[in-house]
Amino acid sequence: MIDFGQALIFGLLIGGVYALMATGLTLTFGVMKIVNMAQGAFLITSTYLCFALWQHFGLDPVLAAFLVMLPMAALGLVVYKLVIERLERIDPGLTIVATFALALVAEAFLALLWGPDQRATDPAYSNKAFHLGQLVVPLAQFYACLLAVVLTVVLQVAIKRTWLGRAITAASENPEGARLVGIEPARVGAWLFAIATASTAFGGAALSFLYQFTPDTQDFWLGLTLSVVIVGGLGSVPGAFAAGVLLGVTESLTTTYLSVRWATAVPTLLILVVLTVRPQGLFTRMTRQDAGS
Amino acid sequence: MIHLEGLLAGYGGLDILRGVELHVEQGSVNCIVGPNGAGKSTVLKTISGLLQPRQGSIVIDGVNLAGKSPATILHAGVVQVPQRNGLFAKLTVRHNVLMGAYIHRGRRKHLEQRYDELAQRFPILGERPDAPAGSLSGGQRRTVEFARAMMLNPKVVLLDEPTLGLDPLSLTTIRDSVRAMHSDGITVLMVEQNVRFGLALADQATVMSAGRVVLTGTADEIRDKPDLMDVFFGAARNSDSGASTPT
Amino acid sequence: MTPLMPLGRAWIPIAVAALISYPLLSDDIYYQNMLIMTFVLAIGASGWNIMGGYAGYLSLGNSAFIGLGAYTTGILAAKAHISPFLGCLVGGLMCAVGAALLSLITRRTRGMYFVVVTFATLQLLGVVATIWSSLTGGSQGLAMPLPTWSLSYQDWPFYYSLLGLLVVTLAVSAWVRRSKLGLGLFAIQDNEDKAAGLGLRTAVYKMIAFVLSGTFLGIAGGIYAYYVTFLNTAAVFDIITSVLIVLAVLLGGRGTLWGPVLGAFIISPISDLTSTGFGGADAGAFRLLLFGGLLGTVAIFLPRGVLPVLESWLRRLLPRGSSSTPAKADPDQSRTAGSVSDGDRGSGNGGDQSPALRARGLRKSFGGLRAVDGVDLDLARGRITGLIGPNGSGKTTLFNLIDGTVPTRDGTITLGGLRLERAGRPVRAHAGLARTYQLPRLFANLTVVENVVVPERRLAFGRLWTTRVSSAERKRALAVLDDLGLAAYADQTPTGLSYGQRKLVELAQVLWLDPILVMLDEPAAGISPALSERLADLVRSLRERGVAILLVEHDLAFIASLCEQVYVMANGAIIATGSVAEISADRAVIDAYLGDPALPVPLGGQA
Repeated sequence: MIDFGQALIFGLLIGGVYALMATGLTLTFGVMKIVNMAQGAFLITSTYLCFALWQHFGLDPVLAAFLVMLPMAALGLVVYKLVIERLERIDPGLTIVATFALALVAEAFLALLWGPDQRATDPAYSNKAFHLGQLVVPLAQFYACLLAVVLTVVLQVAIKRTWLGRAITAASENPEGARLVGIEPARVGAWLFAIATASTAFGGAALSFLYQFTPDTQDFWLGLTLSVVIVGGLGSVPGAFAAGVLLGVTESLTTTYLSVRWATAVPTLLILVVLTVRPQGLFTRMTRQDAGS
Repeated sequence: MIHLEGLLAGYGGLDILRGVELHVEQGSVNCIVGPNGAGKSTVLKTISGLLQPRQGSIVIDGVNLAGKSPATILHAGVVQVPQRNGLFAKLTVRHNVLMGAYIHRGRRKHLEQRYDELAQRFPILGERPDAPAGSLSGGQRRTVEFARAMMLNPKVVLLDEPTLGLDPLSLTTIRDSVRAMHSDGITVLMVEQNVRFGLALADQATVMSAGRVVLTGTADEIRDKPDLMDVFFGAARNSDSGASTPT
Repeated sequence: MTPLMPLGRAWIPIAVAALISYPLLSDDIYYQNMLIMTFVLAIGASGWNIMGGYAGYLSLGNSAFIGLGAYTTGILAAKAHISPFLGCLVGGLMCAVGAALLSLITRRTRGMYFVVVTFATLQLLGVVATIWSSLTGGSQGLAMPLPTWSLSYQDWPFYYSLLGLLVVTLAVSAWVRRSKLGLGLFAIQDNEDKAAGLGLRTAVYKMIAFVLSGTFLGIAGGIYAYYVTFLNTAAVFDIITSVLIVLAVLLGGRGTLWGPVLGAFIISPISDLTSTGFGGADAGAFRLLLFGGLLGTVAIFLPRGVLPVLESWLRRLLPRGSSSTPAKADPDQSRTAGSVSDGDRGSGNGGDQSPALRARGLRKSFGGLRAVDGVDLDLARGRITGLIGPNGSGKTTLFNLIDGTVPTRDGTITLGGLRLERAGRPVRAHAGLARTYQLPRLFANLTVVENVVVPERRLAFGRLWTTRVSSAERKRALAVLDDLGLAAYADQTPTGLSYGQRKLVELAQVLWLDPILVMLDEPAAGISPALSERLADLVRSLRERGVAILLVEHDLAFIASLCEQVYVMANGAIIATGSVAEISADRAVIDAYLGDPALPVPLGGQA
């Protein structure tokens, strides 16, 4: 029973982390219907940047994330202008291919700059834990989960309470109505993409102290964040949170009761199951527009 | 105030406006009527910038606005209330109205003041500011749309079929709102399907058919025209042709 | 159909002869090996092209087929001692099954999910292969039996088997391209919804395409396994092979026949050179940079690929006619309007007096708005019925309810005796329902004749492999186009047609289905009076054949010239029916158009 409880705790915390990683993708996928295959690469890039700040200045990764947000936002803007704006109109399939190519290029650059060795940051809390009765709650995961919750809340507030957030909601729901009040959907899209990319700074920071990373781990995180978004369905960031938790708990239980190695297959299996059974995702009420009749 | 000359516009190979000429006096309420496909809504869309005309000029208060972006046209004081989907269902009533002043979003105090002013005229703004716009009835939505249009203190308001989808009782609210705009000195150009209502409300009228203006005059003149229905029904009304081939 | 074709007849046998004779003439094993890898990539690219180039569904996981084929062959060889040359066929079969499964999983979603799923499946297979080490040898690897032939034959068995497989793959790809299957796939790429609405069973087409996509690559994977003699999961399920496949196709020319092969012959040597040429720890990173960069550049700046660009240059240099086969001039030009079909596909409407369509209680609300509020409709065979009403009265929604674009939750729809309210769009098309749109949508990738011929009344597997347009079909289609005055455009794509002409072609399309009921949504809007007359003639000839016609129009003169009966809709309900003369004198109708006089009319409304 302890085993189960422990697995559950791990699962919940990890689930929160997964939701954190997927936040940027949820925004672009849910609001703009863009599949950004560079999400994993953005995450890992943030990770390496946080790592560099840690290495040279001893800066705590979470604090570093605040700084890393800026170059990431710029990167997002460039990618949007150069790639997405051009291709979405012509052929959304090409956007996927192009962002994927981008991910590989990013991975290559990271490998050239930092080499293939495994890295990790090692802040003070990375090996500590506290206890809830007989259950162990690792501090690092806990902080990461907290970060996820805070980020989700901040983004939700931003969407509801700022002009930009409301303009984004308006433009994605009703582009013509938005144009009539002077909102330019393309500009708003660029902002959204920049924000989504900037938000990966936090996921990247968490990655740096939770896992060992190499440039090619972007592949794994891409698969995982895609899973969160597809399982959760289009729509709100909180929905993705629920999907992340589901994923985390499933993985944790699989690890405990089957094996660690099978756990890595969980994200993909969930994608396949969800698409077969309920293509619009588990946590949305609406049907996907593209679900055939 | 509004002068359209030689306006040609359309979508993807199809010309809807085929040379529209229209003059609207400042401060008047002008109603455009005509059968479907005549291009009435398209005229409004070219004025508000949603559709780029292929040719022609749109001069408003001395400035040619043809082909400019919707934001520029808003700055020039021209606001459109569209036929459908004017509001953002997920935003509250208050935010929807404030969105009307998106181009002036920096001036927070000013906007709040304006909102309160408008709440005097449109009570629903004060009664249900936090209701999601999607939960309102058709008549209530129209009211919110009108309030939103007024946020910018516009010179010109374009109304695209304001009575569409409304129950008869809501028509009084439309009438009152248009009269209020008129008394504020706003020039109102509206498209109306409900011809009698539109012509009763307006002082000037324009009849369009097949992408052109075919008749203009005062609202009374047009309303009293005996062959008005011909424009709608074509020559068929007077001939008894029915089906042309024997079975 | 392209300027390269006349050359093509010549260079294919030359190239094949060259490739066949090369190992016999040269001892240089380095180039033999490079060609072997090129063949594998070319097979992968050509296969990918069937799904990604013809149907337009991109996959990022095609190298999974190599892996699946390789491991199947390897396991059969290692555990059951089956020769890899046989085992690879089983590998191909496994891939076919896998592709079919993935197609089932993605049948309810669109293209972007397909990409994600293929990508995820590649990862999954890699993980499974690693975990299931008892079977696959996991990360330790799986050793293949060594070749059994004498060294003097070098790698010839691999070389020739792969070359042969490439030839087969290309032949199949060429056949698909010219067949009805290919026609359907290209239509799906252009506009999947419309294709479904015209009766194509899109899920079936896509599944066949994907199965073909993977099978040959699976077989190649088996041979490849034998060739490399040692399999290890990381190398085999590597994403970079997938990247190379996509890159080869995009670079060469997606959707063309030879593009993928051309692309493979460019990319594979580069890949070879860089894997041996780059040294050091950074080699992998540089390769990634190179191929990722190339892929991105091609996707953003050269999405059509090299071959189509080459072809358009050649076309400009060699001024020839645009079509190779001139449209057959039909001596009998003076057709009457009644020759739309030679009736060999006729559904036998003559003499049937039952109503074609009977709809009861149709209802649809959007949010709080009642777009259609309890409509009953009876449409008789051999009659033209009009449907008019002011803007917002619900006419388009009614059309959408009947044809299935909007799901019917309330009410019943019976067409020719069949209950259709629960059926999907292809089924309704098969039952005899056809509909045109206000804004015509034609398939841009297909010629006008092909556009007319593509609709499908029912799925027949045998037919899928026959040529795109049989001579009987061509004759029939040309007859229709001739009636519409469009025969001259038969072999062009629709891009050159005017708006009105496109509408007419769309009408010809729906007629191909030999429907029981044709619904026309503002067919005369925006077209010249001359074309409008032709249209009217065509509609009348349909009536002669016993087809039921429902016509939405605002031009009442047009309605009056065609319809015996008219329904008038307002606020989602039918408010009057009768002849045109009757309804235009009807008080309720006038009120609907002009506004209800009982309403509070503003007194002294102008201040």
